[in-house]
Amino acid sequence: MDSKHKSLPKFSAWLLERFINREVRYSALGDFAEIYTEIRDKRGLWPARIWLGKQILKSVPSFLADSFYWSVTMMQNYLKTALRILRRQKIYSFINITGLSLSLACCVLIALYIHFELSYDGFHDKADNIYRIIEIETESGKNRYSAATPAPLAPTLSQEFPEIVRVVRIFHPSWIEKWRISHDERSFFEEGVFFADPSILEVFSFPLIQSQQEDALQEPQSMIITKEMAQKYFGNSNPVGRVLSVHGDQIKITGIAQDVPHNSHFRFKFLVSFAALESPGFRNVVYDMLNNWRSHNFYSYLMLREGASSAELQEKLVPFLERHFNQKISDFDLYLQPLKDVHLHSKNISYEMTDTNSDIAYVYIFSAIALFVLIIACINYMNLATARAAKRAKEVGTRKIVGASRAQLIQQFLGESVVLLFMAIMIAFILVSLALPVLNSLAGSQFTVDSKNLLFILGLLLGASLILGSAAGIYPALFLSTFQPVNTLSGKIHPGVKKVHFRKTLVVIQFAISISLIIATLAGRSQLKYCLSRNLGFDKENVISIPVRDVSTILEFESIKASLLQNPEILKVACSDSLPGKAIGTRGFLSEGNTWAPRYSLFVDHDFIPTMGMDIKEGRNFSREFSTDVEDAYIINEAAAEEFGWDSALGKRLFWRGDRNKKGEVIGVVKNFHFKSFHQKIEPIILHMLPERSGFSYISVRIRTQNMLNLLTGIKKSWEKFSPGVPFEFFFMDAHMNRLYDTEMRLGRVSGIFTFLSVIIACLGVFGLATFLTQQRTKEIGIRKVLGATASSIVVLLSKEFIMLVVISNIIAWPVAYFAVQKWLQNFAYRIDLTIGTFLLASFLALLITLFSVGYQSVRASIISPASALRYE
Amino acid sequence: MRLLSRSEEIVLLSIWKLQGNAYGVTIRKQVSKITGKNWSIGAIYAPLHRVEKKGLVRTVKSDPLPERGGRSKVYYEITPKGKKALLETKKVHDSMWVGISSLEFERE
Repeated sequence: MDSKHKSLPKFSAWLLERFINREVRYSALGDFAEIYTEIRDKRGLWPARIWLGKQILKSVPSFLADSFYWSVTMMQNYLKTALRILRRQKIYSFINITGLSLSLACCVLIALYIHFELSYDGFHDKADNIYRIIEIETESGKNRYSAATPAPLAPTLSQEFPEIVRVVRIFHPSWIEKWRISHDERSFFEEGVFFADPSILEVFSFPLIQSQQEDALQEPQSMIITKEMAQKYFGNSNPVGRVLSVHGDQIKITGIAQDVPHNSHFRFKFLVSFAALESPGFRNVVYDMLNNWRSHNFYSYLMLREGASSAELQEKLVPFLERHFNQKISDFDLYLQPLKDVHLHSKNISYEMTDTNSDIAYVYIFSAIALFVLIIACINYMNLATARAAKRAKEVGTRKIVGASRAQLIQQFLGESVVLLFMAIMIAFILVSLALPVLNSLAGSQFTVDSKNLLFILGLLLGASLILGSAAGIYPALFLSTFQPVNTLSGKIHPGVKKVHFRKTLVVIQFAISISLIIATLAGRSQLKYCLSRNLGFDKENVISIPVRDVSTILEFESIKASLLQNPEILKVACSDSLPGKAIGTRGFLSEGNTWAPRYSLFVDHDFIPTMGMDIKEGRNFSREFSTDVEDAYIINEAAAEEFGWDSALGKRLFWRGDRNKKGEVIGVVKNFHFKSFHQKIEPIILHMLPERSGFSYISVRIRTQNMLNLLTGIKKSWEKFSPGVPFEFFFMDAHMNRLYDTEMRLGRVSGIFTFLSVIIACLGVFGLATFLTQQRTKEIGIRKVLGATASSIVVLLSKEFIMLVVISNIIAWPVAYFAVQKWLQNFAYRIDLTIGTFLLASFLALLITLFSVGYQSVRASIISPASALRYE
Repeated sequence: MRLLSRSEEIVLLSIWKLQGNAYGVTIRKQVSKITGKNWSIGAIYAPLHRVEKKGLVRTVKSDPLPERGGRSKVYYEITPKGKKALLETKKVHDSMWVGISSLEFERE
């Protein structure tokens, strides 16, 4: 090498070699050397070097253009050959393109979902310095996490710890779902009303459209509304400076915010200044909570100084807690939860501000599904490519003899993969666009293909196909290109044959994955069915509940009730301060023989238990005959009796310390009923009577009707008569209870679809494999038939192998699926027992599908006439 | 047959004119002389590579020479196919200019 370049400086020679196309490199380098030598000899070293430098600079673009031109031309050539091969082998191409595009589309959809989940609350500029305060209460060794904190906590913290730059308190009480918002004559019940300190605008990034950021919430009676709400209440006119009535209080609008992104763990529509809560209008909402260290009803967020460590701060909190919380400190602690963890890592936290939180487990589950679907498609590709090897061995041999190098053959096979992948990408993109609306309706998400994420989607597709291409394309390319011409052309070895075991292993993996997914889907379905249909301890059917959001309704309740009961289709009417499936608060209770503890409690009236269809196990229901019931009677559930250690609960004493102290005794025990979802064990709950003239939140109506529409119209009429001007809302108790499993239902539907797809892709692969293997054995089948084999024996012969593979796959899939499903079922306190039936059904399905895929080929092969079979090849 | 591009035509013509003495250096000189512009070596090899691939020229190597860093000169020779391509291109040129006298054109 050295002697060759001695006339040219080493670096220039090296540089030119990089740029010049291999085919003209020799000649061009010679020219450079010749002219360079000539100039050097005539005019000296430096002019020659200068000439060379200039010449290189001028030539490089042309050389690059030349190389590019030829690589494009070569690509065109590969493309042409590849397309020709794809067209010639229709089944093979169809199976591969379908499998690849389906799996790519699945991956992109899942990636979109995961990306969205992981992006929660990341849009805040200072997200990394924001923490949410979580209370940890330890009771008999068990930790209870709660997001709700006392109102004075955050400001006090900020006074005592300099590393806390800002604190924000947010008030969004779970017991008021909707607030009455009125403008002129119109009034609506609105969700998304949040009360917050003005610092919320500095800590979080909620960009305002108008007005200055800092002073938008400074005035005590001011608020910010979103663009959407501005449009709703004021149309196109400017709402800043106008006044809306919130809960009867006049609040001035001082800013318009952009609608809050969907990936925020709370989405306000009305952001009212925290100071507004101190006005008399909100007294009946917050009572004395604002200065009460014992009332945990506010959400506290801290912004730490840049570089401050939350762990260090947490250490220093111990003396602070001792001073301010009147509680044994060993039982109580605070945890600073990073803002970005709120959405996916809040599984054990109760008293959440909103119900938008998901679980990181779902991100893992879907990632696994995406990976599985990709693996299945990869296996298809590899299997079919190696199975076809026998067919292509001759081609490879011929090409090698004619002079193709191994590198060229690898290039050719990779070229085919690239073409296949490229087609798959295009189809996948179309599939994604088509499937997004379907996915959205199934999963309750809002994904769209728009200019913002188009690049992201294309990037995902390319990334996924790159992985696919290298995993699935390289192996066959390397494998096929190793064939020795002598062997393949003389027919000595059938290359594909040696790879039979490898191929079988891959098929087993494929089926093991598919069967596991089927088992998981079936088990998920039965758990869901169990949740939806199991007896809840009360009768959720035929109950209509009406949320009460206005004082006038409460005052007129007796008249409304009387009017409703005139309708023979209405059996019972009751009211209560909450309902099963809604947030039920805890209150401090002292029970005979126990210490003070927060207990779930529900205020009800005389008719609540019969209306809900709950069963009294011991004692009696609240009764109008005992006028003292209002003041001193309690009904507890079985779980409470057990927890309190009462063998006979009747007559036991209970003491409630609240805004009014109430001593009383237990008059009845109600059978356990599910007031939370099946994820949670039934906990002790205490029912007591609504005091005279006190507020409640729901009216429940037990009905028996053939004509629902008529009945609802009747109820609405009674409502309008006694609550004029208050919008009538209602929900059915059964639908409401079923909504507790929304997440599971969505997960079930979506994973069901992906399971179905993975099964389809795997089937396509087996179908393709069966096709090629049967073709290979055409001659054998012919001979067998000549020797007297029956058609059915040939079908059995050809199917046997695949059935064996499915059986082996089951052996792998069963334990894997069992542990995975068990792990998922741990989420439920009430769950199904996994029965062998689920597993058998999944295996049976897999077998059926396999037989169906293989059967077509085997039957076709078995009825072929031996004469034509023997003439084959 | 596809028409030659302008640069291909110039390179082919230069090779033809050089009559057996056509290799990189001389072709570049000839092309620069015909066009009156200084062509870089890279600019020569792009069209040269294309006409070679199309089979319009073939190459013959000389003995290795010291001034070329021990490389041979690669001589380019026009093939019959190359001649045909040149003639065809010329025919197109001629028919394009039919009816336009150079005088008339200049007066415009």
